[in-house]
Amino acid sequence: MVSVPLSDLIPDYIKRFEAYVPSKPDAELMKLYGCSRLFRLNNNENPLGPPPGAQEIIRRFPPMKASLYPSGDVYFVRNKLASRFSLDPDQFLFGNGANEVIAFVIKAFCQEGDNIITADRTFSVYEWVAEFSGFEARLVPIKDFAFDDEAMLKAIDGRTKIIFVCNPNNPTGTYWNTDKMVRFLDTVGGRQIVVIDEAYCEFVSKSDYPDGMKLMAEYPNVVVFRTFSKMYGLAGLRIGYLVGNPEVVDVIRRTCVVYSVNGVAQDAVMAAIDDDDHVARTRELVRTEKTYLASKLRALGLEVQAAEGCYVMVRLPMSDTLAYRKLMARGVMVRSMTGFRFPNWIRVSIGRHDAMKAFIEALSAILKNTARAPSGRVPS
Amino acid sequence: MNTLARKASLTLDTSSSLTSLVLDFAENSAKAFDMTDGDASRIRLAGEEVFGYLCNTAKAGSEVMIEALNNLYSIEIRFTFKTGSFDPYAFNLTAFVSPDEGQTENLGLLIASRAVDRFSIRYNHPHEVVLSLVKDKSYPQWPEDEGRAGVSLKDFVTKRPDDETVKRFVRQGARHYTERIFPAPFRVPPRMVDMVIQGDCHMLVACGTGIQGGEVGGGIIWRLVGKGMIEFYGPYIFDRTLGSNIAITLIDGFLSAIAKTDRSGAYASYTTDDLPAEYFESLGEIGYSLEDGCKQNRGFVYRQLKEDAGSHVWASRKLEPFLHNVYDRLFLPRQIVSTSFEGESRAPHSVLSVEFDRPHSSVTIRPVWDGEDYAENLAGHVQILRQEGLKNIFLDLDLGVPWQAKLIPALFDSGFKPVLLLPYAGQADVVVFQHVR
Ligand SMILES: Cc1ncc(COP(=O)(O)O)c(C=O)c1O
Repeated sequence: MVSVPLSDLIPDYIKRFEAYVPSKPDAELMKLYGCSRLFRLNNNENPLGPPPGAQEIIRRFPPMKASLYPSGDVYFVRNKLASRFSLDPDQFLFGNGANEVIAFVIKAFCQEGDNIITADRTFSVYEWVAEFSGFEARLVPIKDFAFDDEAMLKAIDGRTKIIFVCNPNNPTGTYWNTDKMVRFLDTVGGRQIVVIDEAYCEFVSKSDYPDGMKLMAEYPNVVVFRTFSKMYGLAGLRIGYLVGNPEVVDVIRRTCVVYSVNGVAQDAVMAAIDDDDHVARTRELVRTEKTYLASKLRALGLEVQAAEGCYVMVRLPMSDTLAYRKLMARGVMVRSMTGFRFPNWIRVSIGRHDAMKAFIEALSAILKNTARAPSGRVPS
Repeated sequence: MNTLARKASLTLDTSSSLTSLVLDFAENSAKAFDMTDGDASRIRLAGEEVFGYLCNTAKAGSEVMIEALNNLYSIEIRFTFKTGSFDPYAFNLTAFVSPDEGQTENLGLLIASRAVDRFSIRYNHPHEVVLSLVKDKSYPQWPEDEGRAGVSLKDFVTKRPDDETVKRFVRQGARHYTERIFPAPFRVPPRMVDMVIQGDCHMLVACGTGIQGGEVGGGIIWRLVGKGMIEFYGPYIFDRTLGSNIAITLIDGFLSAIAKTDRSGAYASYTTDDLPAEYFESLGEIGYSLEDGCKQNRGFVYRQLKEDAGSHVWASRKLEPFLHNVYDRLFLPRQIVSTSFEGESRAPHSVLSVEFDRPHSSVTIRPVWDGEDYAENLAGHVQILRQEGLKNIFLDLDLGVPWQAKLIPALFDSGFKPVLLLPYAGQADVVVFQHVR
């Protein structure tokens, strides 16, 4: 057997990088944790599932169609979205989830020595893709749970190519209002690409929430991300996209992987896009259950960060990774937040009422037991 | 260019005619790396023992690579060779010695271990043995703390310290805490600076703001251990008024700094009363014997950094009560798979590796290869290590490795008992056994 001289083959930035290990399949986890049911409150999925029309399409998808390549550039969906948002179909680029389009943008604009700017406590994939591609990710500390515009502007230098703004932010739920966004874009002055990640925009009903797609007309350096994973309940089919000014998108197109969105996803999305009822129902569920959850958590004496989006954060008087294990043993899966640089916090996705109740019951029981247990302090 | 020399290496045949070349190499590189003459000659002595040992043991024509590494605060002489040219059995500390005769004086490797601060035999599977000798550098006496007794900050920020701040932090630490809490290797200010530059220690400190910018109100120290763990020390707090505020900010900052690394968890046994207990889980306690004969119990706190995806561990029945207890208490999802020897054939000789920590009178044994003589080999090790005066003998057992689990009954029979479980510290959880009789 030949030996592979891995250390000569691997770039330094890959040596430094740690692979992300996704969680095990539910069935495996349930076996290990010994629970007979599992409420998934860790991935911000839509508890109502896909819109009914999309469900029907998925159910009826002709099996023979699986042997055909799908539209390589998601032709019909682009056209449909273009008319919905009054843009040109060529302004849209699709990926296998919005996750994939993050890489398209970074590859299109960054070269050796360049950097990107984002926050230290936000969706991690911007940071990861930059780093495992060999570019510096400048992580600006958030302030009062929100992206700190002034500090981000200060972090810009001659090698900054892209600024990622998660609006509303996952996991804190904060957002920049139109005034703040416009001021920020004015100061950037078009010198960098500003990505506004609107993965959760459909959950926001505030009137001062900016619509990135409208800002693009005046600020051609704006690129907007959207996904069908959250509001449209199609996370399992992996479909998301970016929209931008035609000239900017023409550049990004060069690094875009075609044929990466499957046929079922494209058909399902066609049936989902216009289902405004589904959006309204989801919003109503999220609003009601978020209010319930936040009030129950506050009643337990816990600090809660509940703003926009389909999730809330809560600070526990115990290690979040321990709480994760204890909640799993009771059949509730949440996101522990040490990995988001929020030690002792967990993020809970909004689910149906039975899931919210189950979570509150499990957490209450755990906290009660913790309070009674002797403290873990070391005798010194 | 004004850069420090950090590394020298030599590759040669294991032939005694080259001995003086090896000794001059070891001694002169130690001097070039800033060791005192006394320390350099101790390294020469240790090098002589190891090389002499290799020449006796190796097959004709085999090669060894010797590296001298300047770690700033210590020097390491590292011998690396392929096991193909050696019988790995020879690297048992007990090889060629019958413990009954108590002939430890004849043991070149033991003598080498006495001349240095840390000594280890490691096996890089499948074919490489690394013998490592580490000698700490001596630092000139530093002026005793001339700082004021207490610190009282109006406000603070946490940051990675520059060299001067490291020294200030160390002076304060040594002043406020005994060695039990702020351990000896951290009490020498310039040494700590070198450890941080070398990347062997990481620190976060809380400093004053504005006019108080030079004042240090507290700090926390950490270092990487093995493949998946971090050991931390602190939080050390010098400002009693802002105390718990500083402690929590330091812990948050520390955890955020290590959260996205490849490490699965962090543990500590050098902690202070300011440690916010709610961030941690208690792993248990180990009783140590000190040089002066006193006993000391140390508690270990732990915190997992990632969501536990569960795993299976190998064990034998005898260890199961201990494991069930720990796993239930810590809510660790584990499938315990029992295993034992059932008459399958085994290699004749086992191999154990050892890692000496002389300043703590402590040694850690690790199983490297299984063999028929495992129980005797282990007993021989224990006897020699006891004769050598080592007061704390540990054995790390990796529950991710099935053949190691089969050794468990013999461990109990030789007077070891499980004292601590470190989650994911090896291929799976590692159980620390301690020799108790
Ligand atoms: C802020 C944000 N952006 C992008 C994504 C990626 O979504 P997807 O790849 O499922 O389209 C997520 C998913 O969690 C997210 O939270």
